[in-house]
Amino acid sequence: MKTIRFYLALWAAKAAGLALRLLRRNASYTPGVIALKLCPDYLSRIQKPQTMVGVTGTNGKTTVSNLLSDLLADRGVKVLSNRFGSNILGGIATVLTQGVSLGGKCGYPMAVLEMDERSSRLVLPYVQPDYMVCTNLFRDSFKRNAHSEYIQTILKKSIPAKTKLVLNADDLIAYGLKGEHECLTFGVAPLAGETEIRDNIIRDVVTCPVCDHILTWDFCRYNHVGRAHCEHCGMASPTPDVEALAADPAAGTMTVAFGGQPHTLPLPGGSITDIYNTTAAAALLTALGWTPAEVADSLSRCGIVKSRYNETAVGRRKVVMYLAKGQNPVACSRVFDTVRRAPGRKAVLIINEDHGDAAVSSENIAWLYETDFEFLRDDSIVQIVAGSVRCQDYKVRLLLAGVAPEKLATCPDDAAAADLLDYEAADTVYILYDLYTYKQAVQAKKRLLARMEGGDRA
Amino acid sequence: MTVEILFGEWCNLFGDSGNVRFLQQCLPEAEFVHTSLTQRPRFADAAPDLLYMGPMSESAQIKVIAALRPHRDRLAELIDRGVPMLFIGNACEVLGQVIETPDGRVEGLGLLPFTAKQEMIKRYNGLTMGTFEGITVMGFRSQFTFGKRTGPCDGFLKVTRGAGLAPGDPWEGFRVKECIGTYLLGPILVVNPAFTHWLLGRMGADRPLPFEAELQKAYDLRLREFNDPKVKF
Repeated sequence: MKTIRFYLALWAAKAAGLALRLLRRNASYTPGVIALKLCPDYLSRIQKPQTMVGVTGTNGKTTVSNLLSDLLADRGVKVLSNRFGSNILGGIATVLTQGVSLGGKCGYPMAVLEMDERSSRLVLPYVQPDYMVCTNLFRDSFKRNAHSEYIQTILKKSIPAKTKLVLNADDLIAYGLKGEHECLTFGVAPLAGETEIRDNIIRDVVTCPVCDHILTWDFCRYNHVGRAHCEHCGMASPTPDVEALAADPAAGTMTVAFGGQPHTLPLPGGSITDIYNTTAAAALLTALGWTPAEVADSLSRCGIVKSRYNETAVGRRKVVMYLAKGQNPVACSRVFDTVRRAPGRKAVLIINEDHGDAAVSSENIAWLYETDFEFLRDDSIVQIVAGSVRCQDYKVRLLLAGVAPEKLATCPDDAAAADLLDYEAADTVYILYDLYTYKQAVQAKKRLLARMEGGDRA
Repeated sequence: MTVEILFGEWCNLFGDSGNVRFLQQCLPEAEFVHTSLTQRPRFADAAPDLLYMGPMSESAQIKVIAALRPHRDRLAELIDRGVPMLFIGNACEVLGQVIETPDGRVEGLGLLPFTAKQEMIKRYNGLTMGTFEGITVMGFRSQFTFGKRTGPCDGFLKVTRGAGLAPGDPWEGFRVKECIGTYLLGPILVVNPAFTHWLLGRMGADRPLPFEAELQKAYDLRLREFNDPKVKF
C-alpha cells in the first residue's frame, strides 16, 4: 500500500535524480538513499516489475546481468536494470525508482538486478526476486566479506523461499544455497585440452559439505571450481541441468546441453569465464521458458561487454589494460593465470593498491598472500613492475613467490612506474589495475605509449 | 625440526597460509606436518618445535574445538613446557574459555583466561602496532570478535597504536611462556622480520631470513606509515 510518505520519498528521489543528471553527476545511488531516508520501508512499497531476476556472486555478476538484460531486450522485453548503477541497497532503490512513474506505476514487465552479495540481507527481504542467479562464491575483500562461508550464510538467510535459484553446479559453495529452493544448475564440463589448476593457494572446498571428510577432485578447474566427490559418504558435484560441453573460441561457438540435449550456441568471448557467464545466462533464460534455439538466436546478436579488458596495438607489440580487482585474490589470480598463458613474451605493470586505504590509512596486504603471484613466475614473463605506495610489499610477495629479483622493479608513483617498463623485451605489456586505480592505469598507459611511439614501433 | 600445522584445510583464512609458506622458506630442512581435522594431531604423541594454527570460519571453530578437546591436557602440558606455538586470528579463541555467538555459546578449551563475543554484522577492520620484547610489531586486523580478559595472563603486544584485545585494552593477544595468540594478520611473520627472528630463535633455528633486506625495507616503510599521526588505525 502506498502512503503519502512513500509518494514524498518517490518524488524527492526522482527530483534528486533529475538534479544530479542536470549537474552531470552520478545519479545511480543517491536518489535511492534519499528515498530510504524519507521512507524506510520504501522498497517494500514501491511497485516492482512483474518478473524480478537477481544476479549475485563474487565474480561475474555484472557480466551476467548485463548479458541477460541485452538478451531479453533483443527479444523485445523492456528490462529495468542497474547496469549503469550501484548494486547495493541505495542503488537498488534508485533503479526501482527509475522504473516507476510519478504516480508510482511500474512501466517495466521485468527487472534484472545485479545484487551485491553482502548487501543482499538488506535488499532481498523487500525485493523478493522470482529468480536468482549465483555465479560463484569465492573469498573477496576481508574487510567487507570476511570469507565465503559468511557470504553463503547471509544469502541462505536472505533469499526468499519462493525464489527459484540458478546455481553454479561446479561451485559447491554456490550450490550450497540450494536448500529447499526450486533450482536449476549450470556448469562447464572438462573441455578438450583443458588443463587443471590444482596449485591455487585458496581452495575453499576441501572437505565434504555433508560429512567433513576430505573430498576427491575429479576435475579441478581452478580454486574450488570443478567436480568433486566424497569417498566417505558418496556426495558428488551435481550434473548440471545446463552444461557447456565443448567450446570453439576460434569459431565463436560452444556446445551446451540443455537437459542432456546438445545445442550449438554462439560464444561471445573465449575464456572459461566467458563460457561460465554465457552458460549462466542461458540457464536463467531456460528457466524463464526460452528454448535453446531462442537463446542461440539472441546470443548471435549480443556480446559480452569487455569493459575490463582493453588492447592497443603499437607496431608489433600490444599494450593490454586488464582489471585485476585489488583485495579480490581469486579475480587477481585468474588474471595472472591468463597473463602467463598468453602467447609471447610479456612485461607486467601492477597498479593495484586500495586507494581508499592509501588516502587515510595503510592497506591490509594480507590478501596478497592468498593471491597466486606464483603464476607470474613464468619464463614468458620477462619483467614485472610494481607501482603504488605498496610497491615494496608487492616486491616482497613476488620474491617469495619465486620471481627472479632481476625481473622486478618498483616505483611508488603509478604513472612514473610506466617509465620502468622494458617494453622492448616484451611482445605484450600488461597493465593490471584495480577498480579504483583506473585513472592511474590510463595515465601509465599514456606515458608508456608516448615512450613506445617515441622509440621503436617496429 | 618439526613444525606442525593444525587443520590447514580449515584454518587458512586471511592470507595466513603465507606464514606457513614463509616458514617453509625459512626452514627448508624442517619437516612440516600438516594435520587434518580427521587425523590424530602429531603433538599428542611428540612435541613439535612449533605448533601453528591460522584463522578459520566461525563454524570451523566449533569443529576445531571438538577435535582438540580430547588433547586439551596435552596441549596444556606442552604450553607449560614452553613449546613454541602461534595461534593467529580467531584461532586463539579456540584456546579461550567461551565464544559467545549470535546463537549461543561455544565452550573453548579453557587454556587462556578470556572470552570472545561475535558481532557478525559489525566487522572490525583496523591496524595495530605494539611492542614485544623490545621489538615493534605491526599488523592488520579483520575480525568479527573482540576478546575480554577474565583472569591474569600476559598479553602479546603492549599496544602503542590501535586496538588491543578490545578497544581500550592496552594489550593485544596472549602470551603464556612461548605460546602466543594474536589477532594480527599480515602475515605477521612476513611483515615483522624481527619477530620472526625471535620465533626462530625460540625454535633453536635463528638464521638470516629469505630476502631479508627487502623484508626489512618493507617493514621500515610500514613503520614510517604506522607512526604517521595522519594514518587512521
